[in-house]
Amino acid sequence: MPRIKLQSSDNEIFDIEVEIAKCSVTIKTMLEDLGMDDEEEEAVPLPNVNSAILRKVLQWATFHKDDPPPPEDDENKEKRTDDISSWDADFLKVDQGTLFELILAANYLDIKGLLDVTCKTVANMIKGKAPEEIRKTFNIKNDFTASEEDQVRKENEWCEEK
Amino acid sequence: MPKKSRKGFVKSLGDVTLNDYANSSAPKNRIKKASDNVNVVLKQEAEKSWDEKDEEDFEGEFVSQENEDGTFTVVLKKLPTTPKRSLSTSKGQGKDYSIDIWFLISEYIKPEDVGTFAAICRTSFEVVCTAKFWFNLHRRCYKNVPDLPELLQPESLIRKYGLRKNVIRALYHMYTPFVNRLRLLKFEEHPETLKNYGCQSVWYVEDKEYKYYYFFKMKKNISNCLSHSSGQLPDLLEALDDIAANPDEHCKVLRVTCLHHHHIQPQIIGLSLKSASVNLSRGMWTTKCQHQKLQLVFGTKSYMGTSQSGADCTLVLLDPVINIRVFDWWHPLYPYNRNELGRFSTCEE
Repeated sequence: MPRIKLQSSDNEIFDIEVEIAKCSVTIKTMLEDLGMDDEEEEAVPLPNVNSAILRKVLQWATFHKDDPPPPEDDENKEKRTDDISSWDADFLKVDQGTLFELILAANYLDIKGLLDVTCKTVANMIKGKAPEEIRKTFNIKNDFTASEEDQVRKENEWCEEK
Repeated sequence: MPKKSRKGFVKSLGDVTLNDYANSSAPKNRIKKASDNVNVVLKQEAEKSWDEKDEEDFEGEFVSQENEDGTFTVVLKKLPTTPKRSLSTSKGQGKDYSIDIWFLISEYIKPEDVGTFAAICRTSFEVVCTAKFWFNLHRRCYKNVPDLPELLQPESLIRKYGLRKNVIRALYHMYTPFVNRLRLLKFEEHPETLKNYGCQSVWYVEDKEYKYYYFFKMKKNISNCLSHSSGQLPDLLEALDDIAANPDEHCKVLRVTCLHHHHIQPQIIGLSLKSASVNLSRGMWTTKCQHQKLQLVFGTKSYMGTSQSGADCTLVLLDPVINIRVFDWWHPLYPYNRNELGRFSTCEE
């Protein structure tokens, strides 16, 4: 099996199978465009992903390496959020910071499956919760004043159930 | 450029100081100075030279103040400043995630969670204020339903102006959970819920069965402290891109169906609803179809806060009434386009 080295933002080197690395469209395109051999000695730098997150991404990619390619995104279709596999659900039982960093990494590395499942997880965690509860869950700073918060609520009465 | 004065010496314009100006031999239209007073002003200004000052230091107006010894001093009086919004330092614990993350997550947010999503933080609110968000939401939820008005079809939703309101209205035609919400509504909203709403306009429509539909457009007076745009007054081109534009925001329409024509005084426009009561119509309670009587009392104090002279209250009595409905601005039956109603007349006529 041909292998490739990936270098995280904190300079840790990950030696993995090329097929796993190619789950990322960014890496796949990089290898194709730069004409890099499968047995490239030089590490591919990934300056936007740290080692902890890259390790998680590679763990996900390794498990899903034999999955069929994800279907083309149909923008005209409502996205389901209740179809997360049990393995993915367990895999994403991480702290909120890691979950948000995984979203950014999946977006940067262009791994559609991972982006899909991480965003769905966050969307599900938002569902049915009060904003204050969500902020607490994800440790998000509340930068609204009380009157602004009230205004946002009033502007969005249209989506509240009476 | 150096300028030669009448006295014949050359002085650079850049070197003119407040002191030079105050002691100029050609004073024009200004308060007579006393050397002490000039010193007071100079003392205040001496800490910084003019070019070192902030713009804020020049805000305010010059006023003449009387001193204890009867002399006058001209001082720059600062205008009262509006308190600056604190970035919630007290409750500011926590992280501030980038807008990219909120954009990515927003594509998975269901219409019923949009309000919650917008209320998480300023950045998520910012995402909900973008055209991308609303175009995406409409595309995701689009379903070809027979009663979807042409205005709310994807082909018509091209322009940004008023995009938010159009998408929300479209959702109430095509998004099943919202459609069911209206279909399964157990209780009709009572007109009393419109108490303290201001009457914006009144009109009526007569249908083929000689029923009269009276419409009262009512608006809740809500002050906006959170802007959807940059906060500056937009120019015309920017206004055309205003996705949040909605003349019906915070509005509801009270629709009253009557058997007969009633004359409604146009004076109620601009007044606020003080009370609304629904009773059985006199003499109609024995029939199979029990008609109602609607009494609306509008207060003389306008909902915009200005007092009006004249009678204390204006009473609107509609009797007999077949049906009373209150529609939120997003309801499919909200008459947002009065031209679609066919024959209508304003009650001012």
